[in-house]
Amino acid sequence: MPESNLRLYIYGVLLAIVSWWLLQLTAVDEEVIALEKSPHTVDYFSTGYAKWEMDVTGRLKSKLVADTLTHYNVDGTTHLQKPVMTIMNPDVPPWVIQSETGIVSSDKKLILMNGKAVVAREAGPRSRAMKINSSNLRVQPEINYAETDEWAELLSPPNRTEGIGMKLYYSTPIRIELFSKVRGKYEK
Amino acid sequence: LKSDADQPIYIDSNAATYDDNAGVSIYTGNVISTQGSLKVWSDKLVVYFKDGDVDKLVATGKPARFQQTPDSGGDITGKALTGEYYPKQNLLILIKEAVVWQEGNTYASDIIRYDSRNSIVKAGDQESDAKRVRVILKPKTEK
Repeated sequence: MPESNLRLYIYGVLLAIVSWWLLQLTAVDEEVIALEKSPHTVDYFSTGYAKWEMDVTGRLKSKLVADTLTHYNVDGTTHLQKPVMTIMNPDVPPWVIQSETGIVSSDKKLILMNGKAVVAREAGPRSRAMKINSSNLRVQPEINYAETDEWAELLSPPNRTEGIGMKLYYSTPIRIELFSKVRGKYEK
Repeated sequence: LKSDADQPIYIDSNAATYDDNAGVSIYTGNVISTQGSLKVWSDKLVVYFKDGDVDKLVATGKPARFQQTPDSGGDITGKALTGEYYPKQNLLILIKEAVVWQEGNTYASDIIRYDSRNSIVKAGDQESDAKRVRVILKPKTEK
């Protein structure tokens, strides 16, 4: 093989190796970018999370605590472990809503309280103690409203009512609606 | 039965609403309420509470119907547009187009009081004679 061809051949091989190497580099970048674009990229997190919200007069309006809070930058959602929401009410004792996990939408208007969920209120001077066992609640804090398509059980001892599908309006006038297969039990 | 009064009250329906302010539970759609042998069928039932206890249940229907098995004798049945049941007094008041059938006898009036513990039927309104009563007593079969 004449010398000039050999030199040309070597240059070609070198060029191929360098471009393959460059390719590897950019490929890595692409992976990183892809990773960053995936909704599961955390931009901040907290353990032992607690948030107090006051009303315009400075009184406690609601409190949200969770074992962990993880915020994802791409879709702006906040994921919670063991969230406990306490909603103050001027006329009756606070409602406490808790579940296994929670997801707060990016605009904070919707909180999915997933898994087993419990809504509870202690007795007050003009209200009865109440506990609601259910699951997969969709809470809209701004309008003091929660709903589920799942089974729900209202306990106000010694009375008990259960049904499938529930709407809970948890600020005055407080109202709970059950949508099908309702069974009530009242004891003396 | 006499023991009915000590039984829990069960209510089955299509839907229900609990109103915390008013302290009432409203059951709607194919409502069946049961307390021991006393059974009421209605379109709607409102449960009123007093200090957490059930104070009164108001059943409405076209008509609402009830049935109970007394300690002795055959079932007692009745119907009316409205039925008010007071568990603590074992009293069921049938209002408007009320009819009760007991051992072949028929009682019809605009208001009938039925003592569900002792299976006693009182038709008409003691305070006034405005509520006319029609009673059809089954003749005793001749021996």
